Amino acid sequence: MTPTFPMAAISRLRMATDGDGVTTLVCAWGCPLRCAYCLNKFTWDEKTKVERLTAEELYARVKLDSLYFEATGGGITFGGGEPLLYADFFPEFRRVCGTKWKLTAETSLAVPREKLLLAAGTIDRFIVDIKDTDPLVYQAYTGLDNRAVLQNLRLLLTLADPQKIRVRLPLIPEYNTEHHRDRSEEILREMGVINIERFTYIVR
Amino acid sequence: MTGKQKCKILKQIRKQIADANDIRYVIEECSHKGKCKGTCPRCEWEVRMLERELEKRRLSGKKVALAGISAGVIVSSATACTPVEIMERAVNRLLGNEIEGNMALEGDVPYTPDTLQPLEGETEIVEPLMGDPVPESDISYPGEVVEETAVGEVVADVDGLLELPETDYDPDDEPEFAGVPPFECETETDQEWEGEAEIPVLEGDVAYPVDEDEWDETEEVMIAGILIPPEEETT
Repeated sequence: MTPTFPMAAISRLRMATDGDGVTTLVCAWGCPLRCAYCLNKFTWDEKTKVERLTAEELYARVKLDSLYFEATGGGITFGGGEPLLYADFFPEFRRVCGTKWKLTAETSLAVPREKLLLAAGTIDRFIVDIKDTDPLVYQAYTGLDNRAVLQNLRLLLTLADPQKIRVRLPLIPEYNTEHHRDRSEEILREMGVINIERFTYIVR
Repeated sequence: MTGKQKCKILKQIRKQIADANDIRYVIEECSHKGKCKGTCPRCEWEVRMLERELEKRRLSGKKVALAGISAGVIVSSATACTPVEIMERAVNRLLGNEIEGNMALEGDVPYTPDTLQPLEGETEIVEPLMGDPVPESDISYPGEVVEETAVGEVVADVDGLLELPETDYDPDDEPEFAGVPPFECETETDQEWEGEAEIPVLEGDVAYPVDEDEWDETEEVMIAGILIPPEEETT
């Protein structure tokens, strides 16, 4: 069966937020997490209208910015939602778009191991939102246990160049503190993570 | 980043591509007034023209320089800077403004004023939106926060110590993956929608242009709610 990607939203000409260069963000529908401050709650909503696109169809949609992708080292960023749930789509898309575009995945790594193995062979860059390494904080914020997430991160660090992996460490008001974040950074550095981005959620 | 700033950066990228391939390209000041998403039919048309010229060059056997030409213009936030600071620095670099502090960003292309056209304009820092990174000094915590969460109330005091509610969570349980989305979404690519598919447009999103074959520069075009007046014919 031809793999398809359930696209819930698409955003063109993004800069400096989803990887290097000019990127187009393609949001997947569906996510195993239920983060309290999720920006894209429509990716959980079963009423969200979704387009299931083949690799050729998605390529036809996004190729109009190919000039910027090639010139700036950008490309397509798969986000969502949890794009790695559809990891079987990535090799097919790579076959269609060629090697000049960079493919980036914004992921929580809350996916089965097999999905990560499939994605690691195709995706050029990973942006991992680890939330917090403390299991209680993670459970409170996302509703899910994080042991598998940390195992997947360890696996990813062996499968991909650590320089191509960026881990985002948020300060989440009402859920974690600077102390939690310092401890998380310590753990991540011990695991071999090189690129760590600390930022803060604003809750309005 | 405002739409105008984005437009200027993209224009600069087009200029660099054109210069690297001996294609004549003159940056014209945009006369559009009002809100801008970063691109418009005129900018899209320029991209198509550039692509055609590059293809002509390729077909005539000449070398086409494209990969990484503008790699230093946009840098990712994987540095010590926040994305807001990164964008500010990128825009300042293009504007030819002096930047204070250590500007040696990892993977950055050295700034060479001779190769970049100075641009007019101002640097505007957009107020961060929910979820956007902000300087940590701007964050302060109340004395106590009570919030409903997926597992019940979470209470934290001013020191950030959390009192998590009792749940059925057992650390000895084997982790379970949702693995698949909790809801099956049944869609067909040939499903008929009423009008166009209502794909949510993310904040700051750039609307897709109409089909290239249908473009008519003499017609008015509505892009993202902005009426683009037709180009006046010059005699």
